[in-house]
Amino acid sequence: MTVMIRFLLNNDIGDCGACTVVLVSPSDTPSGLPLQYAGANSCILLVGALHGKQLITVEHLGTPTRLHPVQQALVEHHASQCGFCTPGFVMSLFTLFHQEFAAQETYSQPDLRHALIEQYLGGNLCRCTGYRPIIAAAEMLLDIRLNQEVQDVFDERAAATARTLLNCQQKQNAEVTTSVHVPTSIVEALSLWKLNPTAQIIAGGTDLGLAVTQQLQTWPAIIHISNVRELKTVQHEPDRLVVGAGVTITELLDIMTLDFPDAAPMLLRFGSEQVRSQATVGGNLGTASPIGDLPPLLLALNASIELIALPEGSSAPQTRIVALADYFTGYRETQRDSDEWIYAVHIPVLAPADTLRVYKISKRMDDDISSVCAAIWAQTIEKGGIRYIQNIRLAFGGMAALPMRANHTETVLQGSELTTTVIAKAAQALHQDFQPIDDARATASYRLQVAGNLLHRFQIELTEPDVLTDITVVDSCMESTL
Amino acid sequence: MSAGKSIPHDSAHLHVTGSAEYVDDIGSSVDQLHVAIGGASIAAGRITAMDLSAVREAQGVVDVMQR
Repeated sequence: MTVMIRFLLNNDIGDCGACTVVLVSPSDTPSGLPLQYAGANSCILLVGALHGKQLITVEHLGTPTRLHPVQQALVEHHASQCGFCTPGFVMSLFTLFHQEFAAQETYSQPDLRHALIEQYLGGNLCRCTGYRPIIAAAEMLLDIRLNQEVQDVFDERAAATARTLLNCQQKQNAEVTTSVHVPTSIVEALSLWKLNPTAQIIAGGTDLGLAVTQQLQTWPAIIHISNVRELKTVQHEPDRLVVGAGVTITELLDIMTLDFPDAAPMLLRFGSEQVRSQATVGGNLGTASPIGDLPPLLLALNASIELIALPEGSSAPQTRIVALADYFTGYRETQRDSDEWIYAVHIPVLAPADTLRVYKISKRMDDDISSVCAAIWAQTIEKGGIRYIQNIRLAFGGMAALPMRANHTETVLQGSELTTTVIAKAAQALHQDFQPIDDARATASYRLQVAGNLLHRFQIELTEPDVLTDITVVDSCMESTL
Repeated sequence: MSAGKSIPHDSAHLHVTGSAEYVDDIGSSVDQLHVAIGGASIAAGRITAMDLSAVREAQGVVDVMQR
């Protein structure tokens, strides 16, 4: 295997995107086409993540005298100054260039196009040129890709690449004597772990990768579980959605956009495109952080977590299901036993009249960690011009040592009118539910204030739907009037 | 003159291909000399005399330049 890598490293924590590389996977079709392109932060990417994938770095795109269309667009729009972040922008735009556009006419609408470009560039920081010329390059790129159908060498080779990747994936994995394992089935993965109990289990590695780069941890062996097929499955059952623990946030976003569309705006602000493409549902729950973005959403949806273990001397794994509300027990503590893995999440489907809102408050719109994340599920009914709350679940991140429901506040709201007076009472009840901390992201008083404000926002959105409450919508209205 | 003309950054084609060379990436040469700049330790004042003999005598110092 020959690997050519000379990308730029900046912060080693997957935050700035300067070292972005692209991983190409085959689709789950006989031909493997269309190929799936995903940007990833190479500074926190472990080698097992490359198994069965094509790795493309900025050096593979073009040379200074024969530029790729992405590179040409950036040069023409004067989109580099010191140039340090530029290779990362090139690779993120290359991912955008290769996305399958199911609805091309959608992306011919300026607003949606702009949102798409921001989605793909949200994980890349530039500190000198500014984003305007970079976005202009992206606009031109989408234009030539969609309207002039410009192709590159990667398009021309797609069929052969897909065949090669499918062959790679079918090959036997590394021998058990080596220290990196990439199992493909859950039994194989759990058995490997029995043989290597000190091995580190890695899925997307967007959190654990930092243990290597920041805390300089070393592990005797690594078991990469991102190719375990049972963990990648998604089942639509009549009453629930069962999402495998290895499903990435990018994949979850596609599923949620259809089944839980009100969760999509928050998921688009989960990490960055480079993080979402690698990070998994199981990883975000497994790290059990009080500021993870999935737990509040899944708590509000009354989800359960399915755990799996291989009993001693058995080759048949056993699973058990725990309500997510009972799963988190303390700061980074859960009900998961030391021999158990997270296998899947069971999410009850929404009834047509159910309301779901997820609000993420962070210092930056993109690529940031929540100061407070609130998820609200409710059933409401309107009687005589007044909206009543029949049932409600409120879940918060960033308000306590663990992600949790606001039980006192729920009691205040349950069966009440959805009015400003009731919401003010509910905001007071938040003080009974939570005693948040001061830290770099927010003060305790800010957290309580903003949590109460989000309840107010929820009320406004349900009772005065014409009032604009979404800053991103307000932003684009302002842009279009400028 | 480049006023009024749109001229690409002279390193842009290197930036976008990941082949721009940054000072930090350039390897050291054999017998390469290093420069250390000494500044005043106070914000304002008048220099009346400088005694740099200890610097000249320090190990490895090749030359001391003043102006």
